[in-house]
Amino acid sequence: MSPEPANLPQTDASQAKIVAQDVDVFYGEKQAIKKVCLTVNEREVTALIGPSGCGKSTFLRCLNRMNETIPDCRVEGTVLLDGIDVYQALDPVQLRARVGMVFQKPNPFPKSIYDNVAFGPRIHGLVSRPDEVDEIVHHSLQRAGLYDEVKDRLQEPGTGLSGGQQQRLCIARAIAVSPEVILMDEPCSALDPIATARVEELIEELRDEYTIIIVTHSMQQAARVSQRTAFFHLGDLIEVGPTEEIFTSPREKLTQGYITGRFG
Amino acid sequence: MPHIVKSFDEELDRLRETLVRMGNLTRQQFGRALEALVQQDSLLAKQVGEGDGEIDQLEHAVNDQVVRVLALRAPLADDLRTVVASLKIASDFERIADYAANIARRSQLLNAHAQLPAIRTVRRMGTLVERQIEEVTAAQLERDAGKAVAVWNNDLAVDESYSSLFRELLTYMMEDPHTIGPASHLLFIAKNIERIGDHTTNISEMVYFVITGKYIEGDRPKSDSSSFPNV
Repeated sequence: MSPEPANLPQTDASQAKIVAQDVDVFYGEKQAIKKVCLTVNEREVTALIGPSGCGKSTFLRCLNRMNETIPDCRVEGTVLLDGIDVYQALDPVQLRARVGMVFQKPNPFPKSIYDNVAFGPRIHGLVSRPDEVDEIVHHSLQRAGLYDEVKDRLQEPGTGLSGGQQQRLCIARAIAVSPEVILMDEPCSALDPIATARVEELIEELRDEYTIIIVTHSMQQAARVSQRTAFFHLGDLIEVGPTEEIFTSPREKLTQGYITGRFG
Repeated sequence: MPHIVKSFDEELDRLRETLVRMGNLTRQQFGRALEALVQQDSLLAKQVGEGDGEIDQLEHAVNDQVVRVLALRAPLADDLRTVVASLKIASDFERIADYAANIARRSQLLNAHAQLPAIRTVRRMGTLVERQIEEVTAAQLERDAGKAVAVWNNDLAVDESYSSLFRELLTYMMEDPHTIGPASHLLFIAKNIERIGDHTTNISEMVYFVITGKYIEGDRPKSDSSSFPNV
């Protein structure tokens, strides 16, 4: 295990955005993650890796209380967002506006491209006038690198787009409510290499504005897009560190065995 | 622990084998070049020159195997270090073999002259370096970081040996200008051996990096006069 250097003076670039302390998650009797402590720095991409069932997606979902939608799921420990306890002091709806999420399978609403992006800002009351909605929709689609491809068919259904475009639409939808953190649960696993490259390029661009946490099964993707990597195994956080170190000389044998394809 | 994909292990094994073969052949070439020099054996010297092509081919083989592994397996951690270091180690072995061939060529020119007594110092220095190559190959094969560090430290002895040889040869040349020709050749040979020592040190650094993921700490012990001996 690697303790986080919580006491070190931090620069703006490595300000702690999310701090998880002793997080346990149970599904009924089964413990899915055990005493996980992890600090996520602001405006960095943190990759969570590990074999299937290791708890990385479970941990990701703790961060915006998505586990609460699962019956029998119990979360213990503390998750702080900018120092505020997300389980005690924040309303889940407000929390999820600040901590957005993109899923493995693109899941646009059965609405037009325009309404997909406008939906969040409308229900959160972020906009009142139609021109404000227009502006947010255009800006979000542009930020997600999708605008040029869809600008002439904003009223067509979002489900009519290609897989890669749908995923970028979901990213645009997440961005539209101006979140601070974006959680991505294997965002490219259903995409072809070109669409994957576009999403990775987008992650790189979004990094200067957002804190991003990405779960991925692709070691190369984790190495390419993230600055820090955390390796989970059987519910334990085994090792966390700068991505370059994790992929060239990991400290733990388990990490080495996993990333080099010796078990998994 | 083996890889889940067996053919990945086979590819890495093949790469290691090629590299060890290259190391053994390089050491052999250098040993034979020394022998040709000391024994004034022109035929052996010629054979050393002819043997250089095989080492060049092995280097190409290492390059091809590395590119293949990088493209197909996208190796990480110790695998990545092994693969990248192989490329550099092969290049160092190739340079060593080139120097060996150069020594063999010069030895043929030297055979036209009477042998200088300094040949004994050259032989001593050569034997030292030959043992270094043997040790670094063993360190690589046995994954022995301690052995790699020992090779790294021992290069000091090679440098010192070169310095004293330099002074010895200068003395001959000052005493008898007729020795300037053969003594100059011998000096170039000694410089080649010293360079072989440096390439062997590079290899020891790579072997250490592969095993530990770190670079050997500290400045390599170097005698102040190693590269520029005082006259």
